[in-house]
Amino acid sequence: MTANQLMIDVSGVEKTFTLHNQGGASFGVLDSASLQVRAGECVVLHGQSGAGKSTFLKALYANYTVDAGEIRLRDGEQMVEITQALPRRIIALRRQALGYVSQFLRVIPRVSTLEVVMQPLLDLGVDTALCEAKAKDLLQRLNVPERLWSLAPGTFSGGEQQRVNIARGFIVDYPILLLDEPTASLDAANRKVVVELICEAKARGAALVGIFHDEDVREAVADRLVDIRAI
Amino acid sequence: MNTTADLLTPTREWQDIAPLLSVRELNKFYAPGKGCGDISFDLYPGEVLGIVGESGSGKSTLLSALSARLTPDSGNVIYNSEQFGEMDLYACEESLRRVLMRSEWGIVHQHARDGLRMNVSAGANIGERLMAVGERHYGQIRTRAEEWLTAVEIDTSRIDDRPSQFSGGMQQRLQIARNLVTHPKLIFMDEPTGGLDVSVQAKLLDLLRNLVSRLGLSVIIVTHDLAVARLLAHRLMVMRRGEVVETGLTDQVLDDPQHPYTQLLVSSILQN
Repeated sequence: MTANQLMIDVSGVEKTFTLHNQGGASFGVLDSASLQVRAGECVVLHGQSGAGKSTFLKALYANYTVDAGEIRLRDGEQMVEITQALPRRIIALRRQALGYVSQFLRVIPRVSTLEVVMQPLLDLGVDTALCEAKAKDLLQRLNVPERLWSLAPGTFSGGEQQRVNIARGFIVDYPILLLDEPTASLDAANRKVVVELICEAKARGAALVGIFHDEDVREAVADRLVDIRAI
Repeated sequence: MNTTADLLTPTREWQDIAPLLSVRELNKFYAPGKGCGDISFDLYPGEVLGIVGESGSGKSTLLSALSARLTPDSGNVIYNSEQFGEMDLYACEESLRRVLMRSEWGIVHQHARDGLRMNVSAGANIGERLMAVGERHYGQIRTRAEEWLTAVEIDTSRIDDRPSQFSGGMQQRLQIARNLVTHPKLIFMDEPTGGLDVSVQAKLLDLLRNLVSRLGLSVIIVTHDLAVARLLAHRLMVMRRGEVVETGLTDQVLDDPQHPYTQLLVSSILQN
């Protein structure tokens, strides 16, 4: 990654939700949204609840479709236009170049915490011992007690699950990382760890877009605050 | 600590790769609205395609027509074979299809008894597929059978027991071992977790997902269980009354469904 390189280039994105089974009710959420994010930069989206922050972030991950506009994300030398890309292209992009940390952990039941965290790095073909070392390091930093590592996270508390999810999101050094309220149910000590992880990602040249409701986190990580209604 | 970039050789496997299976305008109807129609798609190596929809939507008919078990009324299924090159499934010799079925393809049935021979041992069930592709050495066959029993988490001491002495979950895992022993390229699965209780389902799903990603298998999986589809499939085809109403990346289809029927299907799941 070259410093200052354009990583995310969004232009003219429009998104309307139509609920066919509820009388065809229709909501316009995004209207010609545009945003550019460069390597090493962390952009924080803000705006009221329901303004479309999460929708925008999900569109960046190709989790939501858009009705118009272009979303171009960097994968090595290429910019990939994800609104038109084939599923397998998006899967390849997500595997190596595009990470997403959601509020909720969604995994196969009965798989151990350590394996849940390692999986994205293992999928890249990285040696198991290295994956394990990195997973343990992250779990330790995020204060997930070692006695929980061999257990499936399904029965953990909300905050513990969220920290497992963060560890999983940071195990690969993604060039682009999207963060959807990763600190929502964390205490101050753990929020601080997440801030450190974000700053480290910025330092290695990652481009980040996030939603944070805690002001302290926002202050600590944001290079730019962007109002979702203004983009 | 090393960065990921240092550990990786960049993969660009999505580029310039021919589809493993190409389906064009496939039709098979038993009666108007019963069957499947106008199906076209490409399946690439390593891709897991989920086919979802309610009972009677034509999912299983489509799976049978794709896997050379049910001659369609019209349309083509082109398979890119390791042994025979590009072949049109319903225009080629029956004998070639038979060879495919026992070597490059695997079929995992909903009911394990449809895919296993219930009156021969677990070891023989696995060994039979190997013998069908020319393996003759008894010791080697038994060793491979043991390896695969271990891979699907069945104790090797059960190798001489018949599948009828196994639980439903073990039978299903044995069926998977029997299919995978010949290192197939393409697996067809019809509700593989359908008849199993929930505790066994999770374990089987984890096993399947690991095998699929480790072996780089291409899979077409029919399921009415959207949670199973979410965990295993890269992309989805949603069927209703024999037609595909929506396709796309799995999480896109499930989290942002566009078609009224998909919206209904997704909103009908009980949340826990």
